Amino acid sequence: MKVLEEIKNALTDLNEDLALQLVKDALAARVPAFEVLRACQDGMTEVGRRFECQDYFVSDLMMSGEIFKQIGAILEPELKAGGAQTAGKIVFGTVKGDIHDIGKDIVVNMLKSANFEVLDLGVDVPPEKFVSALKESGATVLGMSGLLTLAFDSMKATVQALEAAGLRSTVRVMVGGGPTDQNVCRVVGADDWGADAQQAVRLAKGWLEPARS
Amino acid sequence: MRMKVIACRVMIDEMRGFLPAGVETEVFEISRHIRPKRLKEDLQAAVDRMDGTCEFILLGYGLCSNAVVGLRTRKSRLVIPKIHDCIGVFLGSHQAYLDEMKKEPAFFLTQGYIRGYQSDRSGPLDELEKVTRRHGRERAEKIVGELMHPYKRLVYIKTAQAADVEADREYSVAMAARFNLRYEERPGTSELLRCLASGEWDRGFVVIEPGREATLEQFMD
Repeated sequence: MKVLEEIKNALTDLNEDLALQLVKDALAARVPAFEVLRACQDGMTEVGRRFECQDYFVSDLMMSGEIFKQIGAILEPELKAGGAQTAGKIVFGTVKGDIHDIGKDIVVNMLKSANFEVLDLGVDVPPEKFVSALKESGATVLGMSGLLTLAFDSMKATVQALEAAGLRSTVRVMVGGGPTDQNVCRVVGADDWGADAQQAVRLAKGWLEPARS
Repeated sequence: MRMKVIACRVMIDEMRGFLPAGVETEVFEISRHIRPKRLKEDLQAAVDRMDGTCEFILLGYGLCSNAVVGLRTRKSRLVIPKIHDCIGVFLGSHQAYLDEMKKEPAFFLTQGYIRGYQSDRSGPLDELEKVTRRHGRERAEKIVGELMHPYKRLVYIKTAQAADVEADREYSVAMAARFNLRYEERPGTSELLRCLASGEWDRGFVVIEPGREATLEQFMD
């Protein structure tokens, strides 16, 4: 569909006004919100690729996150009105000792847009706070974010706290953030990791959707 | 030749004072940190160039977004400070860094950082300028403001090795004012770099033997 390609391109080119207008136009023309969302996710993937190729700066990545946040706010009521019940509950936060929230916010927005109910605990979140949030909410997915490598110790401590609280067998754990990779995932004891927000959505869908069907 | 050095721009000037004369060094710009996977490839390529031409290759890097994990040599030994990043180096330890952040979140600068930012125009002030050019002032303020909002203060770490501190102070005070951060100064140390350059690797260093590779576990407590 032409409008979806245009939305993807506007987001990829960081053209804020055009992207927002095209999203509104698409919804007015009854293009399904989830398809608009998918086009935006494709756009974000392309932004990430341009960053890796050094065509984009860090601030361009942030600009894309900012545009996506606004698109997410437009799509959210449409996705809910589409009758889709929540795709599942996720507890999310930047781990203890790390105060960076830009990456976390992009992932949280992407998950919310994908119809997940996200309990965002903010930054510098100690293991016990993750544990109590999981217990109180009954969420079965935990997402931990960290920009600094010091976050690894906190991620590991949080996974250990989950074990101590008897939650580890029922809660799936994903980690992400700048320095995260498969090796980090293994060392901290998480179930999986994501290099970008789209991967977080894919993981959450893979873990939560089978449980609901 | 007993040792050669591969270092980040942030560390190299402070290291030089401790290195024997004539030591070969290869320096990478600070902005390489932004893409850690590529930095890892570039570091490995630099290690490969030096491998076998000296007994030890000293790395003026910490764990640095995992960029050093997986580095390996075939003939020389690789020596890396056991530290997450250079703020810990200049504050004296990883714990000192955690303690500072616990007090109040801070954006840290050292002479090496300032020179690094000036060298490849990669500091927050430069980022503000770039994004203003591309997206206009209003959006630039918003975006770079978000980048800096976790921090409450800007702390200039003054090491004994630093020269012309007044110029650093001017840069740091201007940056603090631009991002509404409280400006502070505190003394730092280059002791870890002195130990690195002097071969005192008993504590606080990861030494990789030929044929082995640096692992994440070696840097974690």
